[in-house]
Order: sequence, then C-alpha cells, then structure tokens
Amino acid sequence: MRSFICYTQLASLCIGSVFTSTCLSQHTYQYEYKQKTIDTLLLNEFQPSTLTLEQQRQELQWFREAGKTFQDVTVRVVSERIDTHHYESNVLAKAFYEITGIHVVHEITGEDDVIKKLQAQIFTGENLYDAYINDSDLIGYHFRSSETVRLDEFINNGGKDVTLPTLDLNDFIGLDFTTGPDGHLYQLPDQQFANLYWYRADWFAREDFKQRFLEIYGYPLGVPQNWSAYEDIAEFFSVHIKQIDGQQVWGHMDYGKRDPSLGWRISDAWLSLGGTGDKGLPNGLPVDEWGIRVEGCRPVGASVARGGALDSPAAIYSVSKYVEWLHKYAPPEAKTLNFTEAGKWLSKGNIAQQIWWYSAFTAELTKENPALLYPDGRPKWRMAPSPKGAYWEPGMKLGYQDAGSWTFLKSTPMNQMKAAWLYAQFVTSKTVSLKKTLVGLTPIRHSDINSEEMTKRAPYLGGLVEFYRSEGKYHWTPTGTNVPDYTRLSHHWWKYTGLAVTGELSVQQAMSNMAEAFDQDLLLIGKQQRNSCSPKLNPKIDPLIWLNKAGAPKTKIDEKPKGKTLFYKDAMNVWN
Amino acid sequence: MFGIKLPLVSIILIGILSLSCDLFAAEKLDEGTIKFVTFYDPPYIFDPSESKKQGLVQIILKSLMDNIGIKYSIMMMPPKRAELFVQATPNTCILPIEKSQEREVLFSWVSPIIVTKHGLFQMEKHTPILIEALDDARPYRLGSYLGSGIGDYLKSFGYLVDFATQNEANIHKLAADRIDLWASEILTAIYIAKAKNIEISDSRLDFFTTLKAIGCHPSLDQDIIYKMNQELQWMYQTGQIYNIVQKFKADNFSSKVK
Repeated sequence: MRSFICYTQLASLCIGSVFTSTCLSQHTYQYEYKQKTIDTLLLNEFQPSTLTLEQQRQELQWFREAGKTFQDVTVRVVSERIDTHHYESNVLAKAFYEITGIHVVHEITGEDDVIKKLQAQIFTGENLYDAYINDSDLIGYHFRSSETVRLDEFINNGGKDVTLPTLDLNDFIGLDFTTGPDGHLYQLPDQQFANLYWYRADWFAREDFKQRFLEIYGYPLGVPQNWSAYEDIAEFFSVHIKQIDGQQVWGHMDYGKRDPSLGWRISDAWLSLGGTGDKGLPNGLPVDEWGIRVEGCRPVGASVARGGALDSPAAIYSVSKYVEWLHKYAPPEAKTLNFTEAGKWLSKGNIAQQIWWYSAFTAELTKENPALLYPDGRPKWRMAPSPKGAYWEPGMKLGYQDAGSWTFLKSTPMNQMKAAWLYAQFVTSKTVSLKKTLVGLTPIRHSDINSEEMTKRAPYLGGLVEFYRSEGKYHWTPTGTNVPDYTRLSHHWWKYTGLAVTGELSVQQAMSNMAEAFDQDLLLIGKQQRNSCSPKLNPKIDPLIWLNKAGAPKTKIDEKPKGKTLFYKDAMNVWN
Repeated sequence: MFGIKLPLVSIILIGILSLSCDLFAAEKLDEGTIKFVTFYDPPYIFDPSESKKQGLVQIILKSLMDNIGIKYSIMMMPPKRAELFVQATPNTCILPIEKSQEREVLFSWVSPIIVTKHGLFQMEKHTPILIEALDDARPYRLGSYLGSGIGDYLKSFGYLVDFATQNEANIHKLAADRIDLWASEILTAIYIAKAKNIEISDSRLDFFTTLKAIGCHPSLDQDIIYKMNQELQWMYQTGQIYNIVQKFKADNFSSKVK
C-alpha cells in the first residue's frame, strides 16, 4: 500500500510541476521516499542485526543505487516450502521492491517441483525463472553440466557491478557444499538445515522410565549412539510403555509412501549413517553414501560388481532396518504418509524419538504447543547427533545437511540475472540475515550464529545453536559430487525402496535392481555429458573381489552390536 | 424360477459378449496407434465433437506426433475419469496433466507439453486492488474452482478461497462482487472473459508457474516415451513451440496477451 500512496503522490507532484520544472522533483522525491523507506525498514523489520545501524543503512543504500538500472524489471524466483522462504516471499521481496524498485515474484512450492522446474528450464531452454533456490545436492550436476552459471566468475566479470561489496563470502557456513571439485562456486547458500536425531528429553528424564529401561536392556536410557540402542528405545516406548498420560505413544516415526519424498529419506540418511560409503568429508571417497564409486572425478558404477556399494551388505542392512522399524515401531499410518504428512506428527506429542529429523522444522516446533513446550517456552525435546549403523566408521560423515542455495542458469538473460542476483544478495545480506535466521532458524552466516542474540535464544531452540557453533556443521554434509545428475538418478530411490516397503520385492531384490538401474543411467549420462568427469562404467567382475578389498563395498559384519547410549551433554560432544 | 432367471442371464451374457466384441474391435482398430485421453479445457483443449477449433495443446500434440511419425487418436472424458482410464488401459496417455509427487509413479512422463502461469484477475471497472506479492491478497476473497490445484495451493497457505464448481462461474462471481480476485490460469481467464464478454484487468501478479505434461500408461514402450521427449525438447530448443504459442495467441486473442 505504501508504494501505491507513493506513486499517487508522485504523480500529483509531477502533474503540478510539469509546466515548470518538467518533473525535476520526481528524482528528489523518489530519493527521499526511498531514504525514508530504508530508515523505516531498518527500525521496524531488520532488527536485530550483526551490523550497526549505520552499516545497515550503507548496505541498503548500495542496493538502492544498484537497483536504479532495473526499474522496469520483474524478477521471478522459486523456492521450496519452508518458513525461511515464506519470510522472503512475503516480507523481503516487498522490502526489496520498496528499496530498489525491482519487482520480485518469489514463488513457493514443493522441493520436488523446484527441481522439476529447474530441469524444465534446462530441457526447454526457455527462461522460466531468473533464479532457483535449489539444494546443494545438485552440485555434482552443476559442475559437470554447462548449464549453470559459475558464481565466482560472474562476480568477477559480468556481475561485478551488481555484487555487494560487503557480501563477505567467507562468512557463509556452507560455501564448501556449493563449490565444485573444480574450485568454482556454483551456488550461494540461502538457508541451511541439518538432519539430526530428535527425542523427548522430558520422557527420557523420567526416573520410572530410566529404571525400567535399565532393567530390560541392561544399559541406561539416553541418547542412542548406535542403531541397536535406537532400536531398543523404539521397542521400549512402542511395546513396553505404550501409553503416557492416557495417550498412545510410539518409539519411532518415519514415512513409507511410495513417492519422491521417500527418496530423500533413504539417500540423505539411511545409507549414509548405515555406513554404506567410504570415509571422507564432505562425502566418502572413492565410494559415497549413494554407493557410487568414482575414479578421480569420474563415476564408474553403483553395483558391487562394478566397485559400487548400492547392493552391498551395508546398503541392504540400512534399508532392511528402515523397513523393519517402520512396520514394527512407527504408528501404522506412517506407511502411507509422505515427508510433509509425517512431519506434522511430532506436534501431536506422541512420538518418543525420531532417528531422522530436519532442523528446518525447529521454527514449527517452537510455536506455542503445550505438548512440546514448557510454559516458559523452553522445549521438552532436544536435537542430537543421529545414531550410527553397524557399518559406520570414524572419519565418515555424521549426517546430512542441506544448503538451499541460489542457482542461476545460463539460459537466463543477463539483465534478468543481474536483477535476480541483487535480490539473492539482499535476502542473504548481513543487514537482513540475522532477522531471517530468527524467523526461519536456518542459519547461513557464521556472524549470525555467533551473535549475542543467538546466545539469548539458544535455550529455546533445543540444541540448534549448539549444533551450528560446533564442528558438527562441517560433518553433516549434502549429497556430494559423485552423483553426476541428481534429478535423473534420484527417482530410483523411492521407486525401488517403495517396493521393499510394500513387500513387492525383498530388500535385497530392490537394492540389486536399483544398482542395475543406476549403472544403466550412469552409462547414458556418460554418453551425454562427455567431459573429463563424466561417468564411464567399470567392467562387471565377481562382486567378491570388490568385497574383499578394503573400504566400500564392505563385506557383511555383525549387524547387531550391543546398544550404547550417552547423556545429552556427552552426546553433544560427538560433534566436536 | 429358472424360467425367469435364464433369459435374464442370457441377456447379461449377450451384453457382456457384445461389449467385449466392441472393445476388441476398438483395440484392433487402434492397433499401432496411441490413444490420447483428454478433457474439455479451453483454450488448451476443445471437444472435437463440438468444434473444429483446435486448442493450443492439441496443436502442439499434433505437431509432436507428426514429427515422430506415430499415429494417434484423441478421446474425450471428464478429467478424473480420464486419469483413472489411462492408469488402467495400456497404450493410452492423458494430457495435459500436472506431474505431481502423487502421480509421479502412476505414469511414464513426457514433459512439459505446455508451461502455464496463474494470475490474479479483477474487474476492469472496479477500484484496483494493489498486489505486489501474493501475501497482499491475504485479506481478499479469492475465486477458484473445485479440483483446481491452484485453489488447493492457495488454501494450504491460509488464503480465503471460494471454490466454484466450474471455473467459468468465477467471472460472474467477480462481476457480482462475490469474490475480490479470481485466481486462474491466465489464458483460460482471458478466454472465458472474452467468451462471456466481461472486461477484466490484466493479471496484477502472475504468481505461479505450472508445468503440464503427458502421462502415459507405464507399459507404453519406453522407446516411444524417449522419442516423444527428445522431439519435444527439439521443438522447444528450435523455437517451434514458441512459434506455435505466439501464433495461437495472435489468432485467438488481442495483441495485449503476452
């Protein structure tokens, strides 16, 4: 509405002055108006900040000046459906327009749809969006394809005049995730969240439960360090406790509907912490958690027969545990739910623990809800490192982390790209980012996470601040560069594991078929990408030859070691 | 008793047999062709039994299939029935359909056959409602229709959505001030407004882009799916689709339609 008033007044001013100063006052008025807008936004919206008020003002004035050459431009961007992006779409896009005059249509949709749209722009060559906020999981594709803009080159060349001098790239936590093995930066992080263990600290602290758990399992109830302990705790709540305060409770929550969101659950989490891949950060080398082996940067196979690990004992163990616990310990409805539907269950207050939980839902779980919060707002739950499966070894990644990041395609016209780049920098600028972090709780800057404000908020966020202040933030990593085309390969995950959930295929058959499908796709991708890092399959040999070598694919071991738990404080030290 | 039942059984059997013969004949007739099942969705799809006019998607489909040299036929059904029919019937495809997470597994996909945008429309003569971001529409009554993905999308974000049984009804509701903004696919809104001779303003905000696809029965030869996708990509990248869309707009709408 402010803009409308502004333009009405502006129009009146111009009409009044047209015979005298030919609207000379327009520029002055616009300047003064925008200056007032900046001051209003600084005081009313962009507090707190790690910058001083004067530093913030200077940043916003820079945006105002930089936006002058894009006055008639409308920028279209698309991102997934989380609180951080709602804030950008509803508040920051409007503020950006008020400051710069650049219109932004910031569309919010499902993550799957974001990827389809990015794929569609590449497929059609038509400029559907000027920028995408897309998971850094696609880095393997971005650096191999010739479709994605290298941001470091853009910043130093075509985009130099529209790059914020105080952008401070080194302040971004997740820059390693968005940099290719070629050393080029392909994406700018916009929001970041980790996949962690979640549990009801209030229930775990109950003396009667602690006593009973010790009697049954012979070790203390605490934060599980391995899958054996997680399994015992799941059984303890689902089978032995059953009800708390008259409400049925469950010791495990997951989802099993055969749709694309099942794919993330398996590839982000189960195989990774199950120990399918090799040691190495950010991802296992030469075999990563997708079970893909690389030689140099060239993928050479996913099946054990080609040196991969997708149908290895570790992968079969991981998916078997997923299916078994879903059937035995999760609410019966879980088998028919997808990611979004299952995400709403924790708020009901009837889940004791969840092995995989995205910290992006912290904002949701800190909203008023007596089932999950004490009267003073402190949570009854905690986040902690996820327990590790039998094949996991020290030196491997500790979990999954997503850095939803600004991605620009070469098919976008330069003028549109520059305007979109301004918006991308605005929503990640230091002026804006601390407030955005407090709204969405998906921190991207070291300066924000180390701020006094975050120290004050820490007791109310269930461990989020502690995680991002620890070394953990470097050990929880996204999908890596072994995956040459995420969108093309990812559908296999849910299609094949979904058949294992329903029992149409055994886990072993499902993984074996999936490994074969991966190899076939790697072959095709290799024919299309044709560069020094494009896939080239190893010949098939006796799988035992690979299994008997050191590292992944790993030979079968004891898959049920004794359960191990730690007190919360000790469990948090695992991050360091 | 039997005397009464036997003729009834005979009639039913004859009915089943004749139906099977009809189906068999239809299958024989269509051997080697793909049957595309679609639904009335102007200006994208017109009913061939009612009009000689070709909708935009029908034109693109014809061009695509002619280019790859595969015979096809078109069959009209209501949308929900069309989807169920294609799920159950080999050698059929449905279009245009959104490739959602829920549908992903049900079909083999050729995508996108068309890219559309949704906008917010107002009456031309009413005092304009200023919409800079979708959030600005929050205080207003938004018109959509039952079964519309965009209506459900807006409702899921907490917008006040008023669902009509059909999209056509929304323009009358807009004129009668029963809704403030009409959330609709852009070409559809312009087509309906033109057909009803009611003036609406340009969309103030094109807030959502939709990819529409062809969804084929999973048993359809994957080589054909591959060929269709390859040709579609070629048509986009050589500007053929762009030219078809522009010509369609010029032939059917005023020059102000972007």
